[in-house]
Amino acid sequence: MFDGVQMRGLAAHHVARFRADNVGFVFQNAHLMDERSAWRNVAVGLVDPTLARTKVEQRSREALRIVGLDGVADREAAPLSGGERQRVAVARALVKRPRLLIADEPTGSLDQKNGQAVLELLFSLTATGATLIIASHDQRAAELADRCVTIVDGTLSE
Amino acid sequence: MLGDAYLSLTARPLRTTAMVAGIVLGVASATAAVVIADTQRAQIDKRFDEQRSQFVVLVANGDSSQAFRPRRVADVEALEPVSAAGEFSIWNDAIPVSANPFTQGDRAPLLGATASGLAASQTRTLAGIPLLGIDRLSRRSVVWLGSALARRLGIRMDLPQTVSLAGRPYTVAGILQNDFGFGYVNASVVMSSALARAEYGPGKTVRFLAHVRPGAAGAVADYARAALDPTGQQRLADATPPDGRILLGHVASDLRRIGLALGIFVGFIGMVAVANTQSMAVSQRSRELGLRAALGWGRGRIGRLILAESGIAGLIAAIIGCGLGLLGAFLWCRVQGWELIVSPVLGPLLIVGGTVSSLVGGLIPARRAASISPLEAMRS
Repeated sequence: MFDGVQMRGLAAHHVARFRADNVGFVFQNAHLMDERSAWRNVAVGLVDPTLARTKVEQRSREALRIVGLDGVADREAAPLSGGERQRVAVARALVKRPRLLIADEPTGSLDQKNGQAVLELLFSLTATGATLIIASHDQRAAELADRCVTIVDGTLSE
Repeated sequence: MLGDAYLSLTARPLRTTAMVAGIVLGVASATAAVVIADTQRAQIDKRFDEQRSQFVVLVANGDSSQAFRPRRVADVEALEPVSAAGEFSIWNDAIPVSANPFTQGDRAPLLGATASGLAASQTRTLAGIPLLGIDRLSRRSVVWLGSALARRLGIRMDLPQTVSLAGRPYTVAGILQNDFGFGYVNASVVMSSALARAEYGPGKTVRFLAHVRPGAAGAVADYARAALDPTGQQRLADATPPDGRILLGHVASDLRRIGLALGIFVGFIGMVAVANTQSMAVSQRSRELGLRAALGWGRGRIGRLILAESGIAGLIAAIIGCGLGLLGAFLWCRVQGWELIVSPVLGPLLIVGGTVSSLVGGLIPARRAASISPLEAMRS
C-alpha cells in the first residue's frame, strides 16, 4: 500500500508509471552508462516524455549541483571516481524528486570517506519529505535512520 | 527517445557499423542496379533509334502489277509521324549488268522505286541527278547505280555513262549511297518503279516503305495497309521489323526487377543482421535496460527505444547505401560514356525500404528488451 493505493496486483504498466512518478533507486554499483556525460546519466532518471529537452538538462544539472558534482556535469562517466559515480547515481535517483527513495547497499563499494558523504547526502533528502529505505550492512546507516529493522535468515525483526 | 537512441548508436560505432552493413549493401546494390538499368534503357533506346524501328514496310503478296496510287501514298505521307513514303521494291534479285553491252559484266539486284520511296529508305545521291529526278525521268531509260556497284563497274559521273541491263542500254543518271539499314542499295541498280513495271513486268517483291517517327511504326502500318489497298487486291502484309521499343521495355523492366530483387534479397540479409546484432546488444545491455525499467521506463518505451535505434541506424544506412549506389552507377556510366538517368522516386523508395527492413529486424530484439526484468538485470 502506498499513498492509499494497493500495489499488489497492479498491472505492469501501472507499476512502471508508479516507479516513474514516485520511486528513486540507488544500487550498490552506480550502473552508469560510461560513454555518456554525467548529466546525461542523471537524465535517464527523468522518465516523463512530455518534458522538454532543455528542461531535462536543466533539472539534471540541478541534481548534480545538489550532490556537489556540478563541475563534472559534462564529463564522461567512465573516468569518474567510485565516490563520484555513486553520487551521480544518487543524483539520478533524486532528479525526479521522488516520494520514496530505495537504496540497496549504497555504500557497499565505497571507502569510509565517500561512504559517509553518500549517506549524509541520502539522509539529507528526507528533509524534503521523501521516505528513504536503505538496505545496508553499514552501521552508520543504522545510526542515521529513524527506524531500523533487521533481516536474519529471511526473518524480519525490529 | 530519438536522442537517447542516437546516443546509444554512436556510443558503440563498431557494433552499429556491423548492424547496418547489410542494409547499406542492400540499398547500394538496388540503387546501382536500378539506375544502371534505367540508364541502359536510354542507351539501348538511342541505339534502336538508329536502327530500323523507324521504318514501315508493307509487302504486296497479291496483285503487284499496279503501282501504289499516288493520292493514297500522299495520304500516308501526310500523316504527322511520316517523313517520307513511297514504293521501294526489289524487281529482280540478280539482273546482268555491265558497263559495256559487249562484255559479260556482273549481276546485281534491280530495285524499282519512287523518289519518296528512296527518300524513306534514307538513300542519298552521291553524284549526278538528285532523287527527285527518278520520278521526273520515269519514261526515259535512265538508272541510278549504288556506290559500290558503280565502283565495281568503273563508272564515275564526271562523264556521261551508260550501262547495259540484260542487254538493254540505260543512261546512268547518278550514284546513290545508303547508310541506314538498306545497304544493299549500294550494290544495286535503281530505276523508277514505273519504268521497271513497263519494261520488266510485275516486280518480284513489291514493297511500300515509310520512314516514321520512332514508336509510330505500328499505327502507321495499320493505316497505310488500309489506305493503299482498300479492296485487299494487293494483299499487303505488314513486314515492319518488330518495334524494338516493346522488346526494350521488357528487357528494361526485367533489369529493374532483377535490381530490385537483388536489393530485397540483400536487404533481407541486412534485416537478419540487424536482428542478430540487436539481439546481442540487448543481452549486453541488459543491465542498462533493467536500470531503465527500475527507474520507471515501461515495457513499451524500452521496446520503442530499441526500435528507434534500429530505425535510425536503418535510415542512416539507407541514405549511405543510396549515395554509394548512385556514386557507383555514376562512375560506371562515366566509364561507359553513358548519360546517367536517375528516377526521382528511386532514392526515397529505397531509403524507406531500407529503414523499414531495419525496423522489422529490430522487432524481435525490441520484444526481448521489453521483457527484461529490472531485478534480474540489476542482480546480474
